[in-house]
Amino acid sequence: MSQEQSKLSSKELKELKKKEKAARRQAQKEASGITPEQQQKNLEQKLQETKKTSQTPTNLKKQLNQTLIKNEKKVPHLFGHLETREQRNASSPTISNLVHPSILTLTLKYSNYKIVGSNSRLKNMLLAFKQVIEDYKTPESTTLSRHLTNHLSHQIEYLKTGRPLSVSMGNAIRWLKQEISHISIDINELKAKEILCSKIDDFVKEKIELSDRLIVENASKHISNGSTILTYGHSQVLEELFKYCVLEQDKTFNLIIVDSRPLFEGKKLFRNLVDSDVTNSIRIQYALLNSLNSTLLEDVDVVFLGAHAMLSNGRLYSRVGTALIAMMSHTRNIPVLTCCESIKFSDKVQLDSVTTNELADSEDLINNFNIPPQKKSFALEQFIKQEKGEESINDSPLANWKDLPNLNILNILYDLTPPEYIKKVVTELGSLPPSSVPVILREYKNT
Amino acid sequence: MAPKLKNKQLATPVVKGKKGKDVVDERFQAIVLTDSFETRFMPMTSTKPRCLLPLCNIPLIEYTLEFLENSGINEVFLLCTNHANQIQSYIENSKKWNSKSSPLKILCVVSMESHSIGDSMRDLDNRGLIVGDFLLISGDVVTNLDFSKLLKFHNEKKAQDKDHMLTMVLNKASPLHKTRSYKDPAAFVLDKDTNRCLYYQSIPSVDGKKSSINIELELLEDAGEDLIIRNDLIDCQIDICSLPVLSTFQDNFDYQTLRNDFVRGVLTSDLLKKTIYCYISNDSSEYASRVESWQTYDSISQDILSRWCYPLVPDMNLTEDNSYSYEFNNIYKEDQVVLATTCKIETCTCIGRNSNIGEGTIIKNSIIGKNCQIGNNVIIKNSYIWDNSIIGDGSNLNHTIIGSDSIIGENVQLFPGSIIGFNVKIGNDKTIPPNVKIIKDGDNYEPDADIIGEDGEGFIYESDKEFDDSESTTTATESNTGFMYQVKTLNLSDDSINSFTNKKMKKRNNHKRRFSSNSMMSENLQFESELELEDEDFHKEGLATVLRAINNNHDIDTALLELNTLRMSMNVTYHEVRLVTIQALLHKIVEFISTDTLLPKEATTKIFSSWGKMFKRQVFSNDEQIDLLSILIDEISKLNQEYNQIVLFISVKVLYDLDILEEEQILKWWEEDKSNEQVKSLLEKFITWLQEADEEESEEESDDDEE
Amino acid sequence: MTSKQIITPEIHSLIDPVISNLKRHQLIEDKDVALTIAKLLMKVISVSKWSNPQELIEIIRKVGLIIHKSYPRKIIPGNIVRRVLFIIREETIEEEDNINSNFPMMSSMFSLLTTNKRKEDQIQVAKPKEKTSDLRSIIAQGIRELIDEISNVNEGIENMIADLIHDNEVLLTPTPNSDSVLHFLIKAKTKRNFTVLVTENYPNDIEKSHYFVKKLAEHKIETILIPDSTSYAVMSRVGKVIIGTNAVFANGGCLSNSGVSQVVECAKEHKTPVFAVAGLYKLSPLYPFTKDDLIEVGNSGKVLNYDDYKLIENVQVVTNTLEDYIPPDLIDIFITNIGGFASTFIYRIVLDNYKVEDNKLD
Repeated sequence: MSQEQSKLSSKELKELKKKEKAARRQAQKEASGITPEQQQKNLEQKLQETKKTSQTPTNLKKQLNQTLIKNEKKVPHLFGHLETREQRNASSPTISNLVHPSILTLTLKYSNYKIVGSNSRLKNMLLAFKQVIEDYKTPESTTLSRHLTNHLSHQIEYLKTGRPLSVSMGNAIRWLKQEISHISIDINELKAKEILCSKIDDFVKEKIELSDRLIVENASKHISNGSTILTYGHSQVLEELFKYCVLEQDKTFNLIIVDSRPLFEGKKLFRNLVDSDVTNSIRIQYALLNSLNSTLLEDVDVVFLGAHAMLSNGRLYSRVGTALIAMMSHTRNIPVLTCCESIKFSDKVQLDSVTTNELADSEDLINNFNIPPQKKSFALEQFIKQEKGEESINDSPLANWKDLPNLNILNILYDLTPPEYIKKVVTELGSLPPSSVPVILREYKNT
Repeated sequence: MAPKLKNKQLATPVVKGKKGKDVVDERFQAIVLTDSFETRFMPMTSTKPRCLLPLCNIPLIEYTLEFLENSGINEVFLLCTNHANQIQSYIENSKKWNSKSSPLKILCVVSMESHSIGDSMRDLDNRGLIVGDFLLISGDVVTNLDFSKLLKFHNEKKAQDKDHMLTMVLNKASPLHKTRSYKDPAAFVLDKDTNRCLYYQSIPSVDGKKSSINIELELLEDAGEDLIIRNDLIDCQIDICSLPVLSTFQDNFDYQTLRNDFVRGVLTSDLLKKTIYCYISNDSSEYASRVESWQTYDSISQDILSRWCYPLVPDMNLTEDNSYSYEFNNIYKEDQVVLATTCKIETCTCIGRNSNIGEGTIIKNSIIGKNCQIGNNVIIKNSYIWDNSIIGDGSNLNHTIIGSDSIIGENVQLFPGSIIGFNVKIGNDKTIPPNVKIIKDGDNYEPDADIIGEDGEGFIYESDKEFDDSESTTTATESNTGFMYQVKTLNLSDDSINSFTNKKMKKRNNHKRRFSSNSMMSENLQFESELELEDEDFHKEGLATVLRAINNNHDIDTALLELNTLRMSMNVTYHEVRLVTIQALLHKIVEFISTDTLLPKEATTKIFSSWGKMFKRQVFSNDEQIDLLSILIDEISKLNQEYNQIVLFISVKVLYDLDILEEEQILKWWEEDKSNEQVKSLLEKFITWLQEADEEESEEESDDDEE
Repeated sequence: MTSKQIITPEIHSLIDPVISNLKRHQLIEDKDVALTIAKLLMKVISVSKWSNPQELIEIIRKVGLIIHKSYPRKIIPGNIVRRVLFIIREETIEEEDNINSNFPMMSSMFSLLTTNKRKEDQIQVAKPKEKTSDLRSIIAQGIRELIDEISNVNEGIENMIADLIHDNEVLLTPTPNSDSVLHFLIKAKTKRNFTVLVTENYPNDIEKSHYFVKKLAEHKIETILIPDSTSYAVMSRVGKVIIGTNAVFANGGCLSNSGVSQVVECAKEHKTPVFAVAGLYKLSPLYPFTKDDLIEVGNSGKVLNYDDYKLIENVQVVTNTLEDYIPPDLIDIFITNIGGFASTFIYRIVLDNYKVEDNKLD
């Protein structure tokens, strides 16, 4: 028994060393700025190497190891069904050889929260896909419409290792695949790629930029001069809304930004507003979630919430904490509005926040009390750990929390707001009650 | 701040209260510098010492003493120089500090002969009062630092490094942070691992320019692996010193200031081999800052109201007679405050006992003292009104300070930066322009009914005349203008030029001051030579700058900017600047004439009409116009006699046309200046013309002119 | 008698250190505050000069007022002062009853109407000297009992565990700084298996919450630390919410840490029962009035970093509330060291421990 354990641990060590190597390479690549072509070459080399080894027994054992890591994961049993960051990352190396560099960087940016918010994630994904399509070469003996979809699937598979796909990303991918399948076999490759790229551009323009514009115009009616608005975290479209009200409608109002740990997205909104020089017209109050009760007692006229997705049963799936604010405002008879592009509508139904959610790194809650987590890529983190040993950097009481078997730390990213708390959903197709979401979904699917 | 620790702290005073002071084993002494030997708070400090000025309606020194008491310090020496009797009587009359149960033993040490911090320290050393490590703090510090952590840091460093002499407390901020001093910001070079201070460099005031620091390489040789240069620290002048600090001051009797002389001296000295460490708090709830200028007075007041230095907030009621209570949005009110129903109290406001606020009045980000009467429809923004003041209906106060017992009439407009001293009265419907300071008594100052009003009482205070008795003990480091600096607008606008004028004064004062305080010392000569050197350098550089500008046809603004930069860095007066400019212009004219490119008349017209505008930013007052004329004639008389008359004539005429020289001043100068008759002959025509023109204009006044 | 005469310098030298500690908010743990004040009052009673109980009551009231003013938002010191006053009054009345033992106790409408008058009459009767020294020791004994009660508050609370938690239950607590809750849970572990969700209570209690979960996990209790924002998401899985309190008012409402109110509202929305843990000394005879007077606002630096110049310059107000007021209808039961009560019944418990005439100290 003990022998086996030591064996396993040595295997683990190997695994870690592999990752460490990958991390080092990654770091080197990033540092030295190797051109994509070179990178591609490297990848191809690697591909050949892995092809050689992929069927060997060691590889099988490696996969066994991965399942072992899974068992060790520290997730509260309630959330045991959710995929952890470790699990997501564990699957990454096997397909990384097929992945386009732009997707690699994007994945990295997703996983360390350099790119957050479903709008910017969607936009950046589509831009990366454009790059992928531009660099794509149809292999011989197959057609573009058939193979490109497959190629993209690999990219998406890798992208998922950073963070799970958002609803809007899923919708966009579905659309893109459909577009690819519509490309007739007769069109030559260059032309086809051109068509696809321009389609992506149009999509970004139509579904994000113009939609946002419409939503902003629509929602700005709810902000009157001198009113007090409360918002939570950071939402791209809400940020635009506030700027629009000042810069184009010349309104002055009070804005209460409510924020929460660990991402502190409210600070991001705050900073962006300061940068666009609208703080003379917007009187900003900054509060943390814990003082919500006292904050809400002030005369808040309307609450604006951002959205990650609107589910088909009228529930709002958004940054964790949103439901709390919606509930508190609802009981105090403060109208709650949410701004949501129709691309974020999902035909899924869900009843509570536990069944489907995204697990973030628990460590984010241990380190950095006052600042958003400064995340590194998973492999790099592993590498650093290897280098420094188990010695922990911080002196917080929970520095070694993983040693306590009964202790779990839960860091989920989303929660679900029931429809009764939400007065209105503002979309580019007009404003509607949450109960009308399925109607839009049907209309949307038909077009 | 761990709660456990507090319990311990709690336990000791209780015991002490019972058994008396004789059980105290470990004495820790503190020296409080009540005088900073600066004039930044003039004119208020002419009647009251800085440490007794109210901050959030509580004398400034209470904050420092609170920190000391909280720190568990036993003996406090208040070093008094200016207004020593006031400080003494304040402490004597304070119920809190005089009571038997007070854990602080406060002793006022009066040393009237001190002219600088260095003098005070030497004086203190001579008295032999200090027995061990001591805390050196200035009497204007506001902080909620956990002293025990600081002391722990100090003791650790002391144990590690036997050369350790001083621990400085610094607070994290950003370079343009509002509470960071714009007056004397400083950069610190620290060893990253140990926080040892390797180098200290003060940086010229923030004015939108980049500045650099020079570090000698050898200083860094004995540094550890990593060093950091930080320009984002608030230096709050809380130092834990060991005894050698005093003797170092004794040995180096030229050390005047704590930072620029002492810290720099210690760090750069090869002989001393002493080390200085910096303590930088990591706790985001710890606050430390110094009220050292009107600008920091403003920002610290706001910080206190916005609870950045909690628990040091108004509703803590530091002194016994306060009874502030907190309301949401950072509004503080004492008992018996009467607010009219329609008045609007906005965020960050503090109102003292018995004050009355009238109908329709709006108050925001302001502090109102006790027994103040604020009329109807008054707008008060970012202003500080001290006790017993009366503000008439419809007045508008923006970024101003009103001293105690002042009366502001109805519909008075106070513009940003204006400061009204104690007991001043301002008549109805008056407008106080930006950055004007008004005081009650001013024998030397000009009374001005235009500003104060017919029934007003007070005089305009001008910082360049501040050499009365009460000031003779101060080394004027700075006499700043308005107390507000809007960082966003902080660039080389006319406003800031205005503030530069005062800086010139400062420097002049500074030199004089230095001479007098060192008159017995052998260094005297050295200072002088240094000065000359400086001027010499400026002369060369300035001349080159202006000539370069003319030759390369720069625009005037650029040339002025360069010149100003130069002036600031070399610390010379505007007189020097004018001299240099004139010399350069004349040099160019001579060049034109000698190379026969242009005739004297044309050359002068060309140069002066295009570059004479420079004087617009160099000449501000009537006296300075006369100064300009004297320079002009002195310099021109040195030129070739063939054409110097015409040059003078043209140049004066052009400057007159450009509105730089006023007719009145030219005439006045003409009357007074009798030298260089030869050169003047041609100019005489101009003067007569002026006089005649004048006569034509106003015949009645012509008699006066001729006299 | 003016206040100066009542409060002698000896008393001043006793209370001054405590007051400055309260003012500086160095004395914040509720239990420490209660014990300090009780001990202080004991000393005050022993050093002060008084010839009859009425004078003593006057002194204690004055001292109470000074203490209250040093930290008006702290409820506990006032509670203790009133409890001590209650002890003094009770003893005095008992004595009176002994003296006038011939006076029959009647539970009739008549006796109810006359009692007040009778008391006043008796108090005016001057006491002989030896009586006061007797009274002194009796009162001291009473205060000692009060101190014991405060020190052992957690033991009393723990007795009710078995009635409240079932096996494998999921609990949530939003007050990780509460000593009583910690004791309660650790004790509960000896009888039941359960899971505890603990909110971080950022920014004021985050370090305490880390210690709290560590303690729980070391006692083999399944513990999950969650950010404050997550409380709604997990509430549907929670069986009971348990909160600590800072003070309980006579109407059944209570003060607790900031952020608790939203958790409790959440629980209400999910029909999850909420119980509050409070030592008897936290019960106050006062009624809550406005939030301005109730809620302590703390250091803004914990919300927004002071060195974040860009944000600091542009923010109007940063408020770091340290407490939340929780209305009585959101709390199902209070667990005290003398038993569990519905929030609507608190006023009765208050009447048992305080005299109405002491509600106002000035």
